[in-house]
Amino acid sequence: MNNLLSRNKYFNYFNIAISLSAVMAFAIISFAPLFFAIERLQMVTGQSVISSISTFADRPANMDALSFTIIEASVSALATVLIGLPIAWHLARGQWKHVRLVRALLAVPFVTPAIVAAMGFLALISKGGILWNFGIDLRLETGFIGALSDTFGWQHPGHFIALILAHAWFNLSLVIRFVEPPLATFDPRWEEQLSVLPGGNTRLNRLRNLWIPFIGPAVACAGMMAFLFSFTSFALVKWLTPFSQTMESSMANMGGAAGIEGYRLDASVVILSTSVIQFIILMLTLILITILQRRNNSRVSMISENIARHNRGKISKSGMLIISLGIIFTLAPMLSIFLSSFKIRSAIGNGQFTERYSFDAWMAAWQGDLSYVAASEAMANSLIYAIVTLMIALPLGWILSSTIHSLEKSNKMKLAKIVDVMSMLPLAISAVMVGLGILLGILRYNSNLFGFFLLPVLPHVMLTTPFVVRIMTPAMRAIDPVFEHQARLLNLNPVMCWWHGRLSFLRGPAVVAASLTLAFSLGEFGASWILVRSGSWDTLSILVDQLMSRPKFDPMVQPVAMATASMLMILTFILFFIAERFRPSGDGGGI
Amino acid sequence: MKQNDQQYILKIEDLSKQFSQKTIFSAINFDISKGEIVALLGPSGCGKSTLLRMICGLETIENGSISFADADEAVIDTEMKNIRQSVGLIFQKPVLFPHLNVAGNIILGMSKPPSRKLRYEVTEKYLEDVGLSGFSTHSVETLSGGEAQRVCLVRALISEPKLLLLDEPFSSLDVKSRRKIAIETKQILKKKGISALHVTHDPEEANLISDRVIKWQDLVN
Repeated sequence: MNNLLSRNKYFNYFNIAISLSAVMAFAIISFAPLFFAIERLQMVTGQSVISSISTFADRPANMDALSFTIIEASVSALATVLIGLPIAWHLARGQWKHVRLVRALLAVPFVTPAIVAAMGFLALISKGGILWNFGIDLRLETGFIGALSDTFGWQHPGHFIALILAHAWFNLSLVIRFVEPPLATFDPRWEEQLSVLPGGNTRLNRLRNLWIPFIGPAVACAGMMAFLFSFTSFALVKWLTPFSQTMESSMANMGGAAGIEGYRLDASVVILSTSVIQFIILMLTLILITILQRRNNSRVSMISENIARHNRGKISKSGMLIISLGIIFTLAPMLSIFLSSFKIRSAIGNGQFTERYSFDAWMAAWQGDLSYVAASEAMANSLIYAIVTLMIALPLGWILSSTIHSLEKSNKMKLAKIVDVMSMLPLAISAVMVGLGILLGILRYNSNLFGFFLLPVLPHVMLTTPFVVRIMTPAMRAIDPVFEHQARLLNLNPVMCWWHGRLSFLRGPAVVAASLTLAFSLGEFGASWILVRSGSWDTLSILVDQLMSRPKFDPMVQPVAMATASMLMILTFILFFIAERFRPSGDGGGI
Repeated sequence: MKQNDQQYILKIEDLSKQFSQKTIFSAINFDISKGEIVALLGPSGCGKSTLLRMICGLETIENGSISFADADEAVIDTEMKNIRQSVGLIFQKPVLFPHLNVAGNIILGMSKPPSRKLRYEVTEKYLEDVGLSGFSTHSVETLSGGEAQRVCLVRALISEPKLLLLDEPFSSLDVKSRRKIAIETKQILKKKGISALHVTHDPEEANLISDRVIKWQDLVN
């Protein structure tokens, strides 16, 4: 018995040491580059962080970027909720044959790399694309879109609408992930009870007395998340609204010239003030999301999803129509990319073109040429970065989650909250800000590191670890401690207790976290664009951007870019469907 | 109403129910007079709750009819909304909305809710009747099973239904509380002159609360 107790004591010390190391490592990885970046910008500009806030408004372009960012993010959040809510409602309220598949299809956009989404919407709105064929010309803004511009003096309405649609598409799964699980497991007795009371005898009364209190916080939470992601969107803004700048894109464009003493001081001033303002807005949004998530812990009675679905019966025709439209909306940009990768146009004179379908673009993309790297090489780079990211982010996120959970179990709630918030903070720092942080905080001090092949892994770890924590922490909280207690009573050693009492329950969530880490790393664009675009280690997403940026007089440019985007898309989807396979049913937490 | 007979508040004629071609019950006939409390006694799973759900319009009627004293014709699907306004329903487990306090839950039963100022004053009057004075500001999550069921009773009665349906509402309480609340409920219903249909599998509870006991096997045979 004494042996067992001392063995457990050493195991506990070991656990504490590991936890402390992980917390410190994450804090250093995440915040040291940003700290040094700010130090450098302050040194170069001679401004403090506080004074940089007051100089932000001095430059009209900054205010234009701020107002455009707030408008596009707010409208995108609203559009996401308006499109996502009916889909989530009908998906939850009825019996579906392949509900997991439908749910996975509708969730696909969220893991789609941003550059792939941008290419998808470009293909959708370009001449010959699906929307163009329906008479909606968002790209060249002719027809009624042009009339909108002429009538209201609205500059580039087509581009703005395309961006809003793309953001709504991208964030659609947030509404479904947040709203569908509580609705699907909602005990119908509550609805029935209200329907026999005067307080629930009309739709308006039921909305006021039941649905708004019940799913309102989840809807608001999803809307705020959509706002956050639209606010920091970069690839979509870069490609769909080329004539407008968001705060993120203006920082990205000026980042290359910032942080250098005696050179382009204006760039450093813009980066410092914009990043501070953006950080404040994102922090406030995150705080609001945290408050809403706390309210979202619904106390209304839940029952098994299968029983609830059975009680509600078959899905209505209108529900079927809405879900079908949702799936078409989800798949349209992806199908557009895929089709565009085979479509090669040839000029036949007089501004006329012929189109033929072939695998030429796929072959060209795979082999590369003197002016761009081969997709095979970019894919190898992407996979290496993703695997190394996984090897660091998964154990780091796991230990952080375990630390949070252990602190909660020992009733050290404040400390648990601090570690939890710290692990979330990189989400308040956008991908471009992370990239700039490394560029200005590390590379400007030691430019030799530009040659370090694994440099992009650093931002990838920063950006993916919070997702690992978000997936693993709820999974750890859900484990019944009785299994670990039973293992201890059976006199198993601490490793075996951990193996049987915890690991066996965490394998599913770990596969989900691993697949999504790989998928997010593969598709990461903002930070990689800052760090590797001029290097020799292009990833697939950077290659797509580079290919698409080339002059389009070569008819192969666009199909090759689309073929490369298709490869990235296929790779990401394989990982995503593996993750969905292991996701527990009714899981609405995490992402 | 098939027969314009004002003596009954509810008349059920040849009522049947099937789920996925499985017959739950067939050709049920009975009625409830005005002010009468009827207990329907039967084993668990026999279809008593389904019958209650049909009466208050939560389940469709395919065969037979359910008539109310103030309805012009036998009630069919399209008139379910009207039925819901004239009946109250109390479930087996108390259904109180956790985002509202006791007063907020009771107000849901009123067609013309009082102003915020008067809310607690009004609900307190009703709570006194069931021995819950001073509970109007309480959170529903702090209530015991018996207290929660009493609040449900107040909420159902405040809408002044013509008929109150009770779906084994006391089954989750201990024997002593069950007897006490059954007697109190009967007293309140009698005082207000409200008819009630109480379904239960407990013969003692059926006798305590009702004026008349109908055995399920007598109905279906």
